[in-house]
Amino acid sequence: MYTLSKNDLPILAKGAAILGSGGGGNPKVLLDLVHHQMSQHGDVSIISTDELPDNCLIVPIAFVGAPLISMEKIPSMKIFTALYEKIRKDFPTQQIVLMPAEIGGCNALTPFMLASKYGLPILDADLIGRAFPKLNMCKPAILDYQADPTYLTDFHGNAITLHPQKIDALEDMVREVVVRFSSTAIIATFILTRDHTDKVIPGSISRSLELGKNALPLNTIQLARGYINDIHHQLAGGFLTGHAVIKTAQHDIKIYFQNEFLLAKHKNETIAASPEIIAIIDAKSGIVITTESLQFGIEVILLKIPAPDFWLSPQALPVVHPNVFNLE
Amino acid sequence: MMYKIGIDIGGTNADFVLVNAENKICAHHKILIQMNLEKIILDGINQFFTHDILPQQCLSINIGTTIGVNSLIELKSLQRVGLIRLAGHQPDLPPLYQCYPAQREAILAGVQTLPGGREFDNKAITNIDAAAIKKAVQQLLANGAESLAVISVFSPLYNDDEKQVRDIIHALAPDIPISLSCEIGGLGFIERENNTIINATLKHVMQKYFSHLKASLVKSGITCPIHVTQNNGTLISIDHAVQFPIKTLSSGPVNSLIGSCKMAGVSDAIVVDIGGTSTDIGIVENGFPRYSMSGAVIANIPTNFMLPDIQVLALGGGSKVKRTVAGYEIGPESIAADIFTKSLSFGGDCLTVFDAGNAINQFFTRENNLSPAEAHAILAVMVDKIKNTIHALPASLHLPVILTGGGAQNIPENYLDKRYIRPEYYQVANAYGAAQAEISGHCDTICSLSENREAILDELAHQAKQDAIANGAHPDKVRIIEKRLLPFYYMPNQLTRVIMTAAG
Repeated sequence: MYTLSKNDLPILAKGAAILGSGGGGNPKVLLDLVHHQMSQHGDVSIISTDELPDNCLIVPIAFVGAPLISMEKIPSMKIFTALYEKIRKDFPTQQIVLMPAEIGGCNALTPFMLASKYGLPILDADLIGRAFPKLNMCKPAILDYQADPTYLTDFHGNAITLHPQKIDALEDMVREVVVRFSSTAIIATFILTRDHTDKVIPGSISRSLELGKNALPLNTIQLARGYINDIHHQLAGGFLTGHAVIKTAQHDIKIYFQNEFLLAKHKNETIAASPEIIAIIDAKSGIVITTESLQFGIEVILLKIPAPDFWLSPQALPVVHPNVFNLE
Repeated sequence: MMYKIGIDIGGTNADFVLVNAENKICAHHKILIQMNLEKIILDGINQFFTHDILPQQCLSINIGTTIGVNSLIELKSLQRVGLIRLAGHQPDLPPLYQCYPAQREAILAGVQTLPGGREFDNKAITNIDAAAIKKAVQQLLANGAESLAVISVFSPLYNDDEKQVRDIIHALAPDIPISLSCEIGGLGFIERENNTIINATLKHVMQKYFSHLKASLVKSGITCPIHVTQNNGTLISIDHAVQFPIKTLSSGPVNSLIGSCKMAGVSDAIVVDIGGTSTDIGIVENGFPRYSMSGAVIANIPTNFMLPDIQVLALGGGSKVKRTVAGYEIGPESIAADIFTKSLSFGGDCLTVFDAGNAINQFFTRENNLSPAEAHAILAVMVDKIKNTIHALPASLHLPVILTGGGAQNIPENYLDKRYIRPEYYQVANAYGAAQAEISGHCDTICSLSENREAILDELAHQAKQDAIANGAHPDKVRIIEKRLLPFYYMPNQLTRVIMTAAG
């Protein structure tokens, strides 16, 4: 177990952004929000799966919806307290342990709002090990764990409980609700007990902190350093889809994305592919670039980080292979 | 013969240039800013009219200034802002969160969060409450607010609510300055809020220096239009600048970048502006500065303004030089304003870059005993620092480097290879940038581009050009100089913010 203070937040955010593989949004506002909470309520404990209490309820949470809208409609605690009270009501005796549903990007920070306010620990783990566009692209979904119940709350404190029986139903129901909730909501899904810690990807928060301190994992490969030379994007089915070109002295590298960077090719040769994590970093400032913040003319470094082991398993790999995404 | 006057109001000096219709410099002078700025501006302008050049021959007076940004950094002459947030969902982040306490205290008198704000589809988050607004305004005024800022969620798309608040404030307190976030722009609540607060706090200092200027000039028989350069290097009227000081924050540096290039006759260059205390290095492409990729952070405050991407080195003409075992260290301390009293050359006890320059170039009779060898060593350190910074700039290998600014005088000619240009009037590049700046118009709107994209963009370009002409731009010369499309991802109908700027 270790504690994180508000000063650790930017490091966590940076490492999480790298794991976001181009997805995960801009953490600026959430960083300030969490910083503000932790200034009032104090540090947060991060625990490992060994340290979970027997009667715990592990609650993975995340923001869902349009990032641009939450840049305009800044969250209040209401969206979090409504969720907490609903879960508390349904599970009055268990000890709640929070967890980021998705470590890639801003959502690494999401559990800290509640964790700080109510003094709850956060499990050093997540459900994906990076970011992916769809809800079925997470470990519990692939291992056929039920997302029943799934909770969603909105900015006014409205709450809804879903009982999907299939993973496709989860995606459809959540989309519908999020639209009704004016495009931003908090979700708590794939709620786990101690028996099901095999459904998480362990160590995600620690990994983010390491990355954030500029300690790249041993088998990280720097693929290129060049300039963003071209960007094509469109909104397809609610996902930001398209490609960008990084021009180096010798090559033109095409990066395909659907919310996240999923494929990198040089001519016809694939040099990085989902589930490998593709990170683009501003060469001058070190800021992590997301699909939304791609800009023509900036000098960037292209990195490839090995996928979390789970994604290489025969069950998982077909679910997130580039072919699944209709990229080219 | 018709002329234009360009003025740069920096931290230490005010520079004045007179240019003719071909933008050639006919006369120039500098005045040290010691007190009454308005008097200095009037004197500086009137000095041009002692030759056989009459006020009627002056086409326009264009001013570039760092008054706004200096005020903000030094926390001087600011008005305390009362902030009204129309946000029924009660966001849980205090305003100016990134400021340090003394800053926040100086800028913000108080904040009132009220029902209101819109969802992205114009549905009210909660309905606005006129009685609550009235009460909030009274509360803010009672807390010492001298200038009010209003922000509503999604107001760049739906601005009726902010305008309604303005009407209520006018009825309660007709004289209080009001800044609406919808007029200052940009999606992103916190950054737009910061922009609006900065605008509100700076209105007073702009008014203080510029609102009487027009009247005073008229008294001297000078009736031509007065402009101020805005962040993109084009001109806005002085009245507009007083209403929207935030548009002028980068006025000084932008003039330096554009003016230096124009002087040197190039459209692409690296500009090194060596001042008294700092050296600003920026890149110009196609005649306009390269902008920083994320919104500028001004005095600790994150904004979403695109300001020129300038690297600042803490070394200038007035920088103190320290002798160390390893060699010479320059800066960051500087005695820029007191060069003529405290530097070695003028009998003081501070060794500065200026002294080194003086020892070699003999600007003034030497009073120090700095040997040429030492002087060269010091200047070599300075030039090395600059060269290293330039080499680290991306895509810059082929660009010429323009040296400008008062501190550039210190570098001897033989230090500079063919790549370096020091234009004839480099000392007044900022004022020249202002003098030759063009009048602009713009169109800043949010619309759907999913159908008739080209037709819509053409129409918006036309609107921008018409706006420029209405502001005084030459119809034959007017053209689009900036076209920015900022898509609103995840929102329907390819909603995009389109910013078009025309100039001529």
